[in-house]
Amino acid sequence: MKIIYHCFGGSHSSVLAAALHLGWIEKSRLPAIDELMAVPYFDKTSDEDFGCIRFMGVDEYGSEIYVLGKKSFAGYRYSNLLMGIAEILGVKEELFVVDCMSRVNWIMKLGGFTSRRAGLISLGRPVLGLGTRSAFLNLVNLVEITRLKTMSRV
Amino acid sequence: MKIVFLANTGVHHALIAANIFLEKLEKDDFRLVKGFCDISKDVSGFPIFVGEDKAGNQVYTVGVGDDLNIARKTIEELAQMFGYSSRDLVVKPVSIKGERLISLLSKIPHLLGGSYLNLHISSYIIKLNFARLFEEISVFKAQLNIAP
Repeated sequence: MKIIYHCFGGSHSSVLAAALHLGWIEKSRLPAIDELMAVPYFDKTSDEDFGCIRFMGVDEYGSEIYVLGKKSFAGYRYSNLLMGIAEILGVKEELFVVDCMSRVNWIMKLGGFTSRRAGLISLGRPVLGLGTRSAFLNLVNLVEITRLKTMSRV
Repeated sequence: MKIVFLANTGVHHALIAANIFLEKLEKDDFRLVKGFCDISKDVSGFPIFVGEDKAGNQVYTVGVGDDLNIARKTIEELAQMFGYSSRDLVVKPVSIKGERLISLLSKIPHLLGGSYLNLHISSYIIKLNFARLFEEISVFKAQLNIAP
């Protein structure tokens, strides 16, 4: 099975969700900004990465984990687009798509915008760290739900 | 082969392009095209099946908003992830002048005359662009080596 976590830029919430899914970040405590920055692609993407499906790793059940930045598309529409294309290709059962935007708070959005879109990394990154820590348990919850849903399909 | 026509909506010029491709456009009145301006088919974001050509190629449309290239990139990468190539799935973005107005009209509520405005103004805009759209789809068809 292939699992795609998607968010606005494919740089923060989706990457963190993928890292949590793969066990790269501990779920039981809030991560430090250095730990977040050590995750591949976290706060490191550019405009060219919009729309790219990037491979993150393989979980213990053999599912491949990917991240995607969809820019301004509505989350449910983008999930439906991906699932619809998978259905056309006859691989619907092998794909699971997760919209992370519902678990993102405005501090994280502000920090992400300042760091990635405005290019003010030194200003945006501390705000992003604050927002990410605040959204952390919500993202852990999303990943746990995803793992439970996909576990039965593997 | 699956052919997906992408535009900011899936029920306006993408649908007309798909019908040109399928040679199903018998009259110059787009209002007779099945599903034309039917916003209810477009809201979910799922691809819309339009028909199958003589060679068995299945044709779809999908509305993806303003960022056609991002959606195209994602669809092509998704197909590659599952081992499909450009011989299995072809994505054709369709863009015309006035498409933003079409998208805007689609958002006007039915009670405020949205459906009426959507149908008539969208038809007018697509008619203005029809010759160029027809030419573009003919070239696209030739590139796919499908006889017109």
